[in-house]
Amino acid sequence: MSLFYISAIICAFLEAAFFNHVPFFSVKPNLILLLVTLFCFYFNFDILRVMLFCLFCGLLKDSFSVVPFGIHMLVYLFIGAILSYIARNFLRYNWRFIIPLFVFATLSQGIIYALLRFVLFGSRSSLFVVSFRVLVPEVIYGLFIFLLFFKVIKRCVIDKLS
Amino acid sequence: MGKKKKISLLFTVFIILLLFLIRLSSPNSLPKRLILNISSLPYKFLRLTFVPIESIIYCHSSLRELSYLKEENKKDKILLMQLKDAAKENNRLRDLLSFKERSEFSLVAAEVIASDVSNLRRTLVINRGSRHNIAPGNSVIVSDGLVGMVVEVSSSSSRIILINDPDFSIAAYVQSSDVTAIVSGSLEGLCKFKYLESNDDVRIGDQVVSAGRNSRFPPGIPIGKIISISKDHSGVTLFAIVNPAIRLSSLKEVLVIVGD
Repeated sequence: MSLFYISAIICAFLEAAFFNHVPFFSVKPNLILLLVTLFCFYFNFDILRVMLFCLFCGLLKDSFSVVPFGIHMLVYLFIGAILSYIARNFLRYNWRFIIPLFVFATLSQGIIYALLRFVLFGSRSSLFVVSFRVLVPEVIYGLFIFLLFFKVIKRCVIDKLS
Repeated sequence: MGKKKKISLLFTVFIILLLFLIRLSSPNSLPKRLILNISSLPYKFLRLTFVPIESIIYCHSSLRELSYLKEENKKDKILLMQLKDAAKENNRLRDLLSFKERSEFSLVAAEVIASDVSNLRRTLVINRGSRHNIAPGNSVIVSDGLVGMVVEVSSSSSRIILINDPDFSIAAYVQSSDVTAIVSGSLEGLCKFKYLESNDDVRIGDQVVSAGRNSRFPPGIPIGKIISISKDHSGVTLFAIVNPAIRLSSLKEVLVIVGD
Protein backbone atom coordinates (compact mmCIF):
# COMPACT_ATOMS: atom_id res chain seq x y z
CA MET A 1 0.00 0.00 0.00
CA SER A 2 2.68 2.48 1.01
CA LEU A 3 4.49 1.48 -2.20
CA PHE A 4 1.63 3.07 -4.14
CA TYR A 5 1.82 6.33 -2.19
CA ILE A 6 5.61 6.62 -2.53
CA SER A 7 5.39 5.72 -6.23
CA ALA A 8 2.77 8.46 -6.71
CA ILE A 9 5.13 11.09 -5.28
CA ILE A 10 8.02 9.85 -7.45
CA CYS A 11 5.79 9.79 -10.54
CA ALA A 12 4.65 13.37 -9.89
CA PHE A 13 8.25 14.60 -9.87
CA LEU A 14 9.13 12.55 -12.94
CA GLU A 15 6.14 13.94 -14.85
CA ALA A 16 7.04 17.52 -13.90
CA ALA A 17 10.81 17.51 -14.35
CA PHE A 18 11.85 14.52 -16.46
CA PHE A 19 9.23 13.53 -19.00
CA ASN A 20 8.77 17.13 -20.19
CA HIS A 21 12.15 16.65 -21.94
CA VAL A 22 10.93 13.56 -23.81
CA PRO A 23 7.44 14.51 -24.94
CA PHE A 24 5.35 12.53 -27.41
CA PHE A 25 3.42 15.02 -29.57
CA SER A 26 4.05 17.65 -26.81
CA VAL A 27 2.46 15.38 -24.20
CA LYS A 28 3.84 13.55 -21.14
CA PRO A 29 2.67 10.15 -19.87
CA ASN A 30 0.15 10.32 -17.05
CA LEU A 31 1.92 7.98 -14.64
CA ILE A 32 -0.21 9.00 -11.67
CA LEU A 33 -3.36 8.00 -13.54
CA LEU A 34 -1.73 4.67 -14.37
CA LEU A 35 -1.12 4.14 -10.65
CA VAL A 36 -4.72 5.11 -9.86
CA THR A 37 -5.94 2.58 -12.45
CA LEU A 38 -3.79 -0.19 -10.93
CA PHE A 39 -4.94 0.71 -7.43
CA CYS A 40 -8.63 0.83 -8.32
CA PHE A 41 -8.34 -2.44 -10.21
CA TYR A 42 -6.85 -4.39 -7.33
CA PHE A 43 -8.45 -2.64 -4.34
CA ASN A 44 -11.93 -2.25 -5.84
CA PHE A 45 -13.43 -4.08 -2.83
CA ASP A 46 -12.38 -1.26 -0.42
CA ILE A 47 -14.01 1.98 -1.61
CA LEU A 48 -12.67 4.09 1.25
CA ARG A 49 -9.09 3.10 0.45
CA VAL A 50 -9.69 3.91 -3.22
CA MET A 51 -11.18 7.32 -2.36
CA LEU A 52 -8.27 8.24 -0.08
CA PHE A 53 -5.66 7.21 -2.65
CA CYS A 54 -7.46 9.11 -5.42
CA LEU A 55 -7.67 12.21 -3.22
CA PHE A 56 -3.95 11.92 -2.49
CA CYS A 57 -3.08 11.59 -6.19
CA GLY A 58 -5.36 14.51 -7.02
CA LEU A 59 -3.68 16.58 -4.32
CA LEU A 60 -0.26 15.78 -5.84
CA LYS A 61 -1.49 16.85 -9.27
CA ASP A 62 -2.95 20.09 -7.87
CA SER A 63 0.24 20.85 -5.95
CA PHE A 64 2.51 20.55 -8.98
CA SER A 65 0.16 22.30 -11.34
CA VAL A 66 -1.25 25.81 -11.72
CA VAL A 67 -4.85 24.68 -11.17
CA PRO A 68 -6.65 25.65 -7.94
CA PHE A 69 -6.51 23.06 -5.15
CA GLY A 70 -9.39 20.66 -5.43
CA ILE A 71 -9.87 20.33 -9.20
CA HIS A 72 -7.76 17.25 -9.80
CA MET A 73 -8.86 15.85 -6.42
CA LEU A 74 -12.46 16.03 -7.62
CA VAL A 75 -11.60 14.58 -11.06
CA TYR A 76 -9.65 11.67 -9.57
CA LEU A 77 -12.37 11.02 -6.96
CA PHE A 78 -14.90 10.58 -9.77
CA ILE A 79 -12.51 8.44 -11.82
CA GLY A 80 -11.68 6.24 -8.80
CA ALA A 81 -15.37 5.69 -8.08
CA ILE A 82 -16.12 4.80 -11.71
CA LEU A 83 -13.06 2.53 -12.15
CA SER A 84 -13.60 0.60 -8.92
CA TYR A 85 -17.30 0.14 -9.78
CA ILE A 86 -16.40 -1.25 -13.22
CA ALA A 87 -13.62 -3.46 -11.81
CA ARG A 88 -15.82 -4.80 -9.01
CA ASN A 89 -18.88 -5.58 -11.11
CA PHE A 90 -17.62 -6.50 -14.58
CA LEU A 91 -13.95 -7.46 -14.60
CA ARG A 92 -12.02 -10.38 -13.20
CA TYR A 93 -8.52 -9.83 -11.74
CA ASN A 94 -6.93 -10.24 -15.14
CA TRP A 95 -4.08 -7.75 -15.71
CA ARG A 96 -5.03 -7.43 -19.40
CA PHE A 97 -8.13 -5.46 -18.36
CA ILE A 98 -5.86 -2.74 -16.94
CA ILE A 99 -5.14 -1.57 -20.48
CA PRO A 100 -8.73 -0.72 -21.56
CA LEU A 101 -9.39 0.57 -18.04
CA PHE A 102 -6.45 2.98 -18.36
CA VAL A 103 -7.65 4.13 -21.79
CA PHE A 104 -11.10 4.77 -20.34
CA ALA A 105 -9.62 6.59 -17.32
CA THR A 106 -7.48 8.90 -19.49
CA LEU A 107 -10.36 9.87 -21.76
CA SER A 108 -12.68 10.32 -18.76
CA GLN A 109 -10.29 12.58 -16.84
CA GLY A 110 -10.00 14.91 -19.84
CA ILE A 111 -13.76 15.03 -20.34
CA ILE A 112 -14.50 15.50 -16.62
CA TYR A 113 -11.84 18.27 -16.40
CA ALA A 114 -13.27 20.07 -19.44
CA LEU A 115 -16.81 19.77 -18.00
CA LEU A 116 -15.67 21.08 -14.59
CA ARG A 117 -14.01 24.08 -16.26
CA PHE A 118 -17.23 24.76 -18.17
CA VAL A 119 -19.46 24.46 -15.07
CA LEU A 120 -17.20 26.35 -12.64
CA PHE A 121 -15.52 28.92 -14.91
CA GLY A 122 -17.68 29.01 -18.05
CA SER A 123 -14.73 27.97 -20.23
CA ARG A 124 -15.70 26.21 -23.49
CA SER A 125 -13.51 23.65 -25.26
CA SER A 126 -13.81 21.35 -28.20
CA LEU A 127 -13.77 17.87 -26.65
CA PHE A 128 -12.92 16.32 -30.00
CA VAL A 129 -9.85 18.52 -30.47
CA VAL A 130 -8.77 18.01 -26.82
CA SER A 131 -9.06 14.24 -27.23
CA PHE A 132 -7.22 14.22 -30.55
CA ARG A 133 -4.39 16.60 -29.56
CA VAL A 134 -3.88 15.70 -25.90
CA LEU A 135 -5.69 12.62 -24.60
CA VAL A 136 -4.92 10.13 -27.38
CA PRO A 137 -1.14 10.82 -27.31
CA GLU A 138 -1.33 10.63 -23.50
CA VAL A 139 -2.95 7.19 -23.72
CA ILE A 140 -0.38 5.93 -26.22
CA TYR A 141 2.56 7.23 -24.20
CA GLY A 142 1.12 5.88 -20.94
CA LEU A 143 0.61 2.42 -22.46
CA PHE A 144 4.13 2.49 -23.83
CA ILE A 145 5.51 3.18 -20.34
CA PHE A 146 3.25 0.49 -18.83
CA LEU A 147 4.48 -2.13 -21.32
CA LEU A 148 8.10 -0.98 -20.94
CA PHE A 149 8.00 -1.44 -17.18
CA PHE A 150 5.51 -4.29 -17.21
CA LYS A 151 7.87 -6.86 -15.69
CA VAL A 152 8.66 -4.56 -12.76
CA ILE A 153 4.97 -3.73 -12.26
CA LYS A 154 4.09 -7.43 -12.47
CA ARG A 155 6.67 -8.43 -9.88
CA CYS A 156 6.04 -5.56 -7.45
CA VAL A 157 2.28 -5.17 -7.74
CA ILE A 158 0.35 -7.74 -9.77
CA ASP A 159 1.98 -10.94 -8.44
CA LYS A 160 2.00 -9.70 -4.83
CA LEU A 161 -1.66 -8.76 -4.91
CA SER A 162 -2.68 -11.91 -6.77
CA MET B 1 -26.66 3.11 8.53
CA GLY B 2 -25.54 0.55 5.95
CA LYS B 3 -21.95 0.60 4.62
CA LYS B 4 -23.07 1.64 1.13
CA LYS B 5 -25.01 4.60 2.49
CA LYS B 6 -22.03 5.67 4.62
CA ILE B 7 -19.75 5.55 1.58
CA SER B 8 -22.25 7.53 -0.53
CA LEU B 9 -22.58 10.15 2.21
CA LEU B 10 -18.78 10.41 2.53
CA PHE B 11 -18.48 10.74 -1.25
CA THR B 12 -21.03 13.56 -1.30
CA VAL B 13 -19.31 15.35 1.59
CA PHE B 14 -15.94 15.11 -0.22
CA ILE B 15 -17.46 16.57 -3.42
CA ILE B 16 -19.02 19.52 -1.56
CA LEU B 17 -15.81 20.23 0.36
CA LEU B 18 -13.73 20.07 -2.80
CA LEU B 19 -16.08 22.43 -4.64
CA PHE B 20 -15.69 24.93 -1.80
CA LEU B 21 -11.91 24.44 -1.89
CA ILE B 22 -11.81 25.13 -5.64
CA ARG B 23 -13.80 28.31 -5.20
CA LEU B 24 -11.69 29.55 -2.29
CA SER B 25 -8.31 28.69 -3.85
CA SER B 26 -6.42 31.61 -5.29
CA PRO B 27 -3.36 31.69 -7.54
CA ASN B 28 -0.05 32.35 -5.78
CA SER B 29 -1.52 31.23 -2.42
CA LEU B 30 0.82 30.39 0.47
CA PRO B 31 0.55 26.57 0.12
CA LYS B 32 1.34 26.82 -3.61
CA ARG B 33 4.37 29.05 -2.93
CA LEU B 34 5.63 26.66 -0.25
CA ILE B 35 5.28 23.65 -2.53
CA LEU B 36 7.01 25.55 -5.36
CA ASN B 37 9.90 26.40 -3.03
CA ILE B 38 10.25 22.85 -1.67
CA SER B 39 9.96 21.17 -5.07
CA SER B 40 12.51 23.39 -6.85
CA LEU B 41 15.43 21.35 -5.44
CA PRO B 42 14.20 17.95 -6.75
CA TYR B 43 13.33 19.65 -10.06
CA LYS B 44 16.90 20.95 -10.39
CA PHE B 45 18.30 17.53 -9.48
CA LEU B 46 16.12 15.78 -12.08
CA ARG B 47 17.05 18.42 -14.64
CA LEU B 48 20.75 17.72 -13.98
CA THR B 49 20.27 13.96 -14.39
CA PHE B 50 18.70 14.55 -17.77
CA VAL B 51 21.53 16.78 -19.09
CA PRO B 52 23.87 13.91 -20.19
CA ILE B 53 20.97 12.06 -21.85
CA GLU B 54 19.90 15.25 -23.58
CA SER B 55 23.40 15.94 -24.85
CA ILE B 56 23.52 12.50 -26.51
CA ILE B 57 20.04 12.77 -27.99
CA TYR B 58 20.50 16.28 -29.31
CA CYS B 59 24.23 16.07 -30.21
CA HIS B 60 23.72 16.11 -33.95
CA SER B 61 21.16 18.90 -33.96
CA SER B 62 23.31 20.90 -31.49
CA LEU B 63 26.29 20.81 -33.88
CA ARG B 64 24.11 21.96 -36.75
CA GLU B 65 22.61 24.69 -34.58
CA LEU B 66 26.13 25.79 -33.53
CA SER B 67 27.30 26.38 -37.13
CA TYR B 68 24.02 28.18 -37.93
CA LEU B 69 24.41 30.40 -34.86
CA LYS B 70 28.01 31.26 -35.81
CA GLU B 71 26.82 32.53 -39.20
CA GLU B 72 23.97 34.49 -37.61
CA ASN B 73 26.39 35.99 -35.08
CA LYS B 74 28.56 37.41 -37.88
CA LYS B 75 25.53 39.09 -39.47
CA ASP B 76 24.31 40.35 -36.08
CA LYS B 77 27.67 42.02 -35.32
CA ILE B 78 27.37 44.10 -38.50
CA LEU B 79 23.76 44.97 -37.67
CA LEU B 80 24.74 45.93 -34.12
CA MET B 81 27.31 48.44 -35.39
CA GLN B 82 24.67 50.01 -37.64
CA LEU B 83 22.13 50.13 -34.81
CA LYS B 84 24.63 51.74 -32.42
CA ASP B 85 25.03 54.58 -34.90
CA ALA B 86 21.25 54.87 -35.21
CA ALA B 87 20.87 54.90 -31.41
CA LYS B 88 23.42 57.72 -31.07
CA GLU B 89 21.57 59.77 -33.65
CA ASN B 90 18.23 58.98 -31.95
CA ASN B 91 19.50 60.21 -28.56
CA ARG B 92 20.89 63.35 -30.16
CA LEU B 93 17.59 64.16 -31.80
CA ARG B 94 15.65 63.43 -28.61
CA ASP B 95 17.90 65.80 -26.66
CA LEU B 96 17.24 68.41 -29.27
CA LEU B 97 13.49 68.01 -28.96
CA SER B 98 13.74 67.70 -25.12
CA PHE B 99 11.94 64.33 -25.01
CA LYS B 100 11.86 62.46 -21.72
CA GLU B 101 14.23 59.50 -21.71
CA ARG B 102 12.41 56.19 -22.24
CA SER B 103 13.32 53.87 -19.43
CA GLU B 104 14.52 50.46 -20.59
CA PHE B 105 13.01 47.47 -18.89
CA SER B 106 15.42 45.15 -17.13
CA LEU B 107 15.55 41.44 -17.90
CA VAL B 108 16.29 38.45 -15.70
CA ALA B 109 17.45 35.30 -17.50
CA ALA B 110 16.09 32.04 -16.09
CA GLU B 111 16.36 28.35 -16.85
CA VAL B 112 13.30 26.13 -17.22
CA ILE B 113 13.48 23.35 -14.60
CA ALA B 114 10.04 21.75 -14.76
CA SER B 115 6.66 21.90 -16.43
CA ASP B 116 3.05 21.35 -15.40
CA VAL B 117 2.19 17.76 -14.39
CA SER B 118 -1.11 18.05 -16.25
CA ASN B 119 -1.11 17.78 -20.04
CA LEU B 120 -4.18 20.02 -20.17
CA ARG B 121 -2.33 22.98 -18.65
CA ARG B 122 0.76 24.63 -20.09
CA THR B 123 3.03 26.09 -17.44
CA LEU B 124 6.74 26.07 -16.77
CA VAL B 125 8.77 26.39 -13.56
CA ILE B 126 11.89 28.55 -13.75
CA ASN B 127 14.81 28.76 -11.34
CA ARG B 128 14.38 32.44 -10.45
CA GLY B 129 12.02 33.88 -7.83
CA SER B 130 11.31 36.85 -5.59
CA ARG B 131 15.00 37.05 -4.62
CA HIS B 132 15.65 38.06 -8.23
CA ASN B 133 12.92 40.76 -8.21
CA ILE B 134 10.39 38.57 -10.00
CA ALA B 135 6.74 39.20 -9.11
CA PRO B 136 3.39 37.80 -10.29
CA GLY B 137 2.30 39.46 -13.50
CA ASN B 138 5.79 39.90 -14.96
CA SER B 139 5.97 39.23 -18.71
CA VAL B 140 8.19 36.43 -19.97
CA ILE B 141 9.80 36.58 -23.41
CA VAL B 142 12.56 35.08 -25.52
CA SER B 143 14.36 36.78 -28.39
CA ASP B 144 11.80 35.51 -30.94
CA GLY B 145 8.58 36.33 -29.14
CA LEU B 146 6.25 36.22 -26.17
CA VAL B 147 6.36 33.20 -23.85
CA GLY B 148 3.79 34.02 -21.16
CA MET B 149 3.35 35.52 -17.72
CA VAL B 150 4.54 34.81 -14.16
CA VAL B 151 1.69 33.57 -11.93
CA GLU B 152 3.30 31.99 -8.84
CA VAL B 153 6.48 33.18 -7.16
CA SER B 154 8.49 31.68 -4.32
CA SER B 155 11.87 32.89 -3.11
CA SER B 156 13.93 30.78 -5.54
CA SER B 157 11.55 29.67 -8.31
CA SER B 158 8.50 30.83 -10.22
CA ARG B 159 5.74 29.36 -12.31
CA ILE B 160 4.84 30.92 -15.65
CA ILE B 161 1.77 30.24 -17.76
CA LEU B 162 2.39 29.98 -21.48
CA ILE B 163 0.48 31.83 -24.17
CA ASN B 164 -1.39 28.63 -25.13
CA ASP B 165 -2.59 27.94 -21.55
CA PRO B 166 -6.39 28.24 -21.18
CA ASP B 167 -6.03 30.87 -18.43
CA PHE B 168 -3.79 33.20 -20.43
CA SER B 169 -5.08 36.15 -22.43
CA ILE B 170 -3.53 39.32 -23.80
CA ALA B 171 -4.62 42.28 -25.93
CA ALA B 172 -3.00 41.96 -29.35
CA TYR B 173 -3.21 43.45 -32.81
CA VAL B 174 -2.44 42.46 -36.38
CA GLN B 175 0.69 44.28 -37.52
CA SER B 176 -0.46 44.86 -41.09
CA SER B 177 -3.98 46.12 -40.40
CA ASP B 178 -3.99 47.27 -36.72
CA VAL B 179 -7.04 45.09 -35.97
CA THR B 180 -7.09 44.69 -32.17
CA ALA B 181 -8.57 41.74 -30.30
CA ILE B 182 -7.69 39.23 -27.58
CA VAL B 183 -5.24 36.34 -27.91
CA SER B 184 -5.88 33.59 -25.41
CA GLY B 185 -4.84 29.99 -24.92
CA SER B 186 -7.17 27.01 -24.82
CA LEU B 187 -7.52 23.53 -23.37
CA GLU B 188 -6.65 22.19 -26.84
CA GLY B 189 -3.24 23.90 -26.62
CA LEU B 190 -4.01 26.39 -29.39
CA CYS B 191 -3.66 30.20 -29.33
CA LYS B 192 -6.91 31.84 -30.41
CA PHE B 193 -7.25 35.42 -31.63
CA LYS B 194 -10.83 35.97 -30.46
CA TYR B 195 -13.74 38.42 -30.87
CA LEU B 196 -13.00 39.41 -34.45
CA GLU B 197 -15.77 40.97 -36.48
CA SER B 198 -16.66 39.66 -39.91
CA ASN B 199 -15.51 42.87 -41.63
CA ASP B 200 -12.11 42.99 -39.86
CA ASP B 201 -9.13 42.98 -42.22
CA VAL B 202 -7.51 39.77 -40.98
CA ARG B 203 -5.86 37.26 -43.31
CA ILE B 204 -4.01 33.97 -43.01
CA GLY B 205 -0.29 34.71 -42.64
CA ASP B 206 -0.76 37.99 -40.73
CA GLN B 207 1.64 38.59 -37.86
CA VAL B 208 0.03 39.15 -34.43
CA VAL B 209 1.90 41.18 -31.80
CA SER B 210 1.17 42.35 -28.25
CA ALA B 211 -0.80 45.59 -28.02
CA GLY B 212 0.73 46.73 -24.74
CA ARG B 213 -2.09 49.13 -23.92
CA ASN B 214 -2.65 49.50 -20.15
CA SER B 215 -1.06 46.12 -19.55
CA ARG B 216 2.15 44.70 -18.15
CA PHE B 217 3.18 43.43 -21.57
CA PRO B 218 5.38 45.75 -23.64
CA PRO B 219 3.92 46.53 -27.07
CA GLY B 220 5.13 44.99 -30.28
CA ILE B 221 6.31 41.59 -28.99
CA PRO B 222 5.61 38.90 -31.62
CA ILE B 223 3.00 36.35 -30.57
CA GLY B 224 2.59 34.36 -33.78
CA LYS B 225 1.13 34.07 -37.27
CA ILE B 226 -2.51 33.47 -38.17
CA ILE B 227 -3.01 30.03 -39.74
CA SER B 228 -6.80 29.75 -39.94
CA ILE B 229 -9.96 31.82 -39.41
CA SER B 230 -13.31 30.33 -38.32
CA LYS B 231 -16.67 31.35 -36.90
CA ASP B 232 -17.11 31.31 -33.13
CA HIS B 233 -19.61 28.91 -31.46
CA SER B 234 -22.00 31.88 -31.16
CA GLY B 235 -21.86 32.44 -34.93
CA VAL B 236 -21.56 36.21 -34.40
CA THR B 237 -17.83 36.74 -34.11
CA LEU B 238 -14.83 35.09 -35.71
CA PHE B 239 -11.69 33.69 -34.19
CA ALA B 240 -8.30 32.94 -35.73
CA ILE B 241 -5.84 30.25 -34.73
CA VAL B 242 -2.39 31.72 -34.15
CA ASN B 243 0.70 29.57 -34.57
CA PRO B 244 3.08 30.74 -31.79
CA ALA B 245 6.30 32.45 -32.93
CA ILE B 246 8.34 30.16 -30.66
CA ARG B 247 8.35 26.42 -29.95
CA LEU B 248 6.74 26.43 -26.52
CA SER B 249 7.32 22.72 -25.88
CA SER B 250 11.11 22.97 -26.15
CA LEU B 251 11.98 26.08 -24.15
CA LYS B 252 15.16 25.83 -22.10
CA GLU B 253 15.85 29.47 -21.12
CA VAL B 254 13.57 32.49 -20.89
CA LEU B 255 13.84 36.19 -20.04
CA VAL B 256 11.58 37.77 -17.41
CA ILE B 257 10.84 41.47 -17.69
CA VAL B 258 11.12 42.88 -14.19
CA GLY B 259 11.30 46.68 -14.72
CA ASP B 260 8.52 49.05 -15.88
